[in-house]
Amino acid sequence: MEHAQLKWIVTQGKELVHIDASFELLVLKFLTNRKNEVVTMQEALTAQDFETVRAVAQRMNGAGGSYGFDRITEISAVVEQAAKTCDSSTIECHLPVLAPISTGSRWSTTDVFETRGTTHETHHPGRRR
Amino acid sequence: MSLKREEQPMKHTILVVEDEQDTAELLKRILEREGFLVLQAKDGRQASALIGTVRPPSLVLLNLVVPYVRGPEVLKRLRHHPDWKNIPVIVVSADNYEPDIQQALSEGATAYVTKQKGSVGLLQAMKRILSSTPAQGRIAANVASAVPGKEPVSMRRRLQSNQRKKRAA
Repeated sequence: MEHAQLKWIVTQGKELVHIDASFELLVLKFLTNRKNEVVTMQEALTAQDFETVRAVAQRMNGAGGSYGFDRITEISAVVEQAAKTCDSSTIECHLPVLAPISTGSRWSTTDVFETRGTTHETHHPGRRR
Repeated sequence: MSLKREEQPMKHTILVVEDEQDTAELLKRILEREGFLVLQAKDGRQASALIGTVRPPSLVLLNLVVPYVRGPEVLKRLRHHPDWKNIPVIVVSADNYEPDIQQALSEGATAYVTKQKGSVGLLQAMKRILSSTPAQGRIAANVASAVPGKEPVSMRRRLQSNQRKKRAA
């Protein structure tokens, strides 16, 4: 799959995401919202509110797919299914995995800018958030 | 020098029915960058209100899981409206369960693109559909050119499904 807003690359055993500069703020907002959703799901799980866990996981699943964050999509799909069967142990196992992904621990960006109609790319490897 | 109004290239209008705000914003940004005009509805009720009250768009991107009025009901209303019934509708969903895909197609969706397919896959499907349908919902003329390459999987599935139905009949 290809996304206009970002590209995943694996280099030297590390997984990095290159974000098109014009989408950077959107992606950061996306990650912040996912991080908040993990907290919401943790609280809902504590209250045994599986419907909230399911609904939030479903939303996260769709958003993750749209933005190209496949691991968020995969894990939230597992959480969604587990919530449908009130399987709290599976949810407990997966939420801690989801949390660090949603914080976007390591990044590199691709800045794209135009000068007299020509597109240039500037690469900033390993920029830390 | 700017072009006169009548000389400006026409733009396709796309109605995006999506309740998840981040996804809606991303789609808007991507589509506008591609030169589309974007109309948004954040739930099925807003989408239903638009049907028949605004000029029909060139294409609708529809998430089936939206609040108040569900996506399938929006699709049904759209297909029953005389001015909107021929508007292509691409269902954009995280759900890749085959029976759900087939159901959406049988209920009138033109194509089904999973969110996991990525924005590039979605744009390819949109351009392919827009280039093969009569001009509608354009504010000013440029039909997006057909994108070379494979057909989207969901389009192939729809064709196969139609062929199966014809054989069964």
